[in-house]
Amino acid sequence: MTNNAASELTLQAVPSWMPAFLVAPMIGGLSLADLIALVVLLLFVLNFVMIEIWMERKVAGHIQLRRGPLHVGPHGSLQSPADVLKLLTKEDLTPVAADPIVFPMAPYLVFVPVFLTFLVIPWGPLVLFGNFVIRPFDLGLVYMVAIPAMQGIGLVMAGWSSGNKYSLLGSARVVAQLISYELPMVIALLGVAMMAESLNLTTIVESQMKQGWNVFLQPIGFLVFFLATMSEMSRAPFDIAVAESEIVGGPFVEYSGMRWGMFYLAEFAAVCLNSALSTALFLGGWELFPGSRALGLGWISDQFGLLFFMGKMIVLVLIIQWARFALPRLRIDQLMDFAWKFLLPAGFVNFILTAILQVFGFVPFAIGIGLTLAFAAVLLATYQARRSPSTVALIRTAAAAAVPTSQGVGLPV
Amino acid sequence: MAIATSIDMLREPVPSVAEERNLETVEMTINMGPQHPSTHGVFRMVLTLEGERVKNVQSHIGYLHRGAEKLGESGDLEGYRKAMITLDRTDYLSSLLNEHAYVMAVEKLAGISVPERAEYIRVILGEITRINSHCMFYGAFGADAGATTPYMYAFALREEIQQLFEAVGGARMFPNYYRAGGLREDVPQDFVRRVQAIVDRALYAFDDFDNLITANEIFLSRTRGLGILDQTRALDLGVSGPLLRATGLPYDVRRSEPYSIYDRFAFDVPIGTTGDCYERYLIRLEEMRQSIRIIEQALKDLPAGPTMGNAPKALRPPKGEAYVRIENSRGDFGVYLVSDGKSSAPYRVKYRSPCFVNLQSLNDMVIGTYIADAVVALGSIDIVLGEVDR
Repeated sequence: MTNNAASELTLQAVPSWMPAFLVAPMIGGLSLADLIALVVLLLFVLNFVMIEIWMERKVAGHIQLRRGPLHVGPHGSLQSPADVLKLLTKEDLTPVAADPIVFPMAPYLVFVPVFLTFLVIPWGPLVLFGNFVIRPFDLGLVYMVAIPAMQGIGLVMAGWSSGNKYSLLGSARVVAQLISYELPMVIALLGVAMMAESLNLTTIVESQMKQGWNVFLQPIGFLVFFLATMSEMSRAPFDIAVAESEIVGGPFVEYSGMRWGMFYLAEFAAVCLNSALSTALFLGGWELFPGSRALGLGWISDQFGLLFFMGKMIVLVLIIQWARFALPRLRIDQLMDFAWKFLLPAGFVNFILTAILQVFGFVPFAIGIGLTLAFAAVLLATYQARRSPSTVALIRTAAAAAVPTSQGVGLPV
Repeated sequence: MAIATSIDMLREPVPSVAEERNLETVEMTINMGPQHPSTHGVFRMVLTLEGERVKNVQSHIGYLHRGAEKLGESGDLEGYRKAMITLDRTDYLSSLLNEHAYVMAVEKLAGISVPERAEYIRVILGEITRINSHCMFYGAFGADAGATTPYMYAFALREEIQQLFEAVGGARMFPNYYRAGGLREDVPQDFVRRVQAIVDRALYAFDDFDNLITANEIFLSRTRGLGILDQTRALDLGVSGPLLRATGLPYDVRRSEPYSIYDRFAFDVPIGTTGDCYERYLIRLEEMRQSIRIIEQALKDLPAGPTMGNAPKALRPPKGEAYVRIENSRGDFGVYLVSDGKSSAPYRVKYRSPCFVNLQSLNDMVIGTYIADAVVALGSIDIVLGEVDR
């Protein structure tokens, strides 16, 4: 693998890390190399999900004054495989009220779109292997928005076919949530596309290496995208679709065994996916640190980029997990308000600012960012001022304040 | 539906699919409980929904009815002690507070005096029980609002408190420790040290509680202005405890009608202004701090001496009745006892359960809100089904 591999593979159709003799045989448009790549990807996703579940339980434990899993394997690291084995041996129940065809189908329709989206992620290069990307489509950005949206269909099918009112409510919430948050997400991505002048994810990463990471040039866009994807995958604090304390798990109430496991798998795969997408689109993909190329350190990223990509991805995964255990859940109307009244306008601001940057250059853009931040600060300050810290008026001279029962406030028995 | 071919067609009202096909609209009812993660035990409410909005709520209780009062009347061998065993199990979160009310009623009925040391220990343990119960509220309320972490923080403190109960009374949840005329036995040697440790730990824990969710923006938006109960309505319903104090009335039995030795301690009665869920939450947090104040004063003055007066083991009080009320962690808890003067067991036992009365305010709080709000509003009432159903 040479140093310039990254820039060469923009339009490449098959994985670069595959030997040539595997590329030749084609079966219905798929080469052997494609199939192998898919299997490798699937194995990666499944294993990463297991690690992620363990991570999440450890994060939860340490946030909640506990230790998390501890007994199966060193530091409980084999807890997830044990859980998977347990799920595999459990019976897949189908309730009497459930639809016999749609009900078993739904879990796969939820997982498959998430998995398919992994195809376009530019994982970055690694020594001896070359650049890990399975399909560097020119329409990668459109693909990564369109395919995960299919998840909603699977969730609606799950909710409706379960024959349970909690499930139905949950799936209604899922639809509302997906439609609302798709919009700000796409608007945020417009800025990314404008910066790179491309919809190809590999090109987007490379353009960030030239002009700086998008997280600095598109801070608002990053915020909007990250929050919108968190809501898209129904993670806390946006987890109204599965709200345990209200609708007991939403569309998944009636599922058991590995079918339920598929939903779980899809959820955690989506966390991994969205962290990977955020890394590729905003955090400079596989680059070690911003501007490393200018310092002549570009070769580090070209050789070990995959590791840096994974590192950034895991940091984002940890942030998502942290939010889950630190925050209460939003109510459905607040969730909608947040999407339509905050994220969407913020996305448009980002869009306009990016247009200014591309047409008028950096100085007006910087002024625009400054104005936006100042505006946000003023809004926040007014809001904080309106919100008094405590509403409880404490009665310090308690002896005088207490109401004697004889005053007619008396007690019904 | 036809495709609009002219402007005029667009102006005509378009029939909805339901109207076109003569479909009937049915109200959706959803059954929450008795097995539901946030109905706090085996409470069941049937919500009539309009989308996500709650149009009506019908509550069903009685799943945990165990005849606690009637069982207390049948203590042939155990006499007046038997009611306490079942009383512990009604409100299992404020068992020692309720025991206090019961023994006071028996003492009033039989005219028994209590040694000073026993009174102080009762107050200390009672206030620790209050903290224990409010911790449970804190955890459950956080979980109702969708935060899982508060539970763990609250239970870390609860664990230490229950270890103290085990050391003192031999059981974590149902100590059955008070007796008419004093205590079953004296507290362990290291009681003061252990209580002091809990006090130190608790003050630290309360700050953690506050840092976790009190000022959290999502938590505020979920609880503020929700489930407002005004003072007149609260009094009409007979609501007491933090619910009533949140409406702005400083009514606390410990102050309004001081019992035991509560008139010797300085503490404040926190009150709210609007009576929403958030104020109920704040009031309970502040009450925990006030309980600490009481405990600290009681610890300082804790006298030495006997913990049991000269009460006979088998009580046979003269004919008569006694009603005693205390402020337990949920409100005004009352015990009514009747003795027929002949038998060694009470003729009639009746508990005035604050949970049961407070629960009646549920409809006022829930109707017109969202499903998610119904859960939070129910959590803010802080019911214990054992006491509601008795």
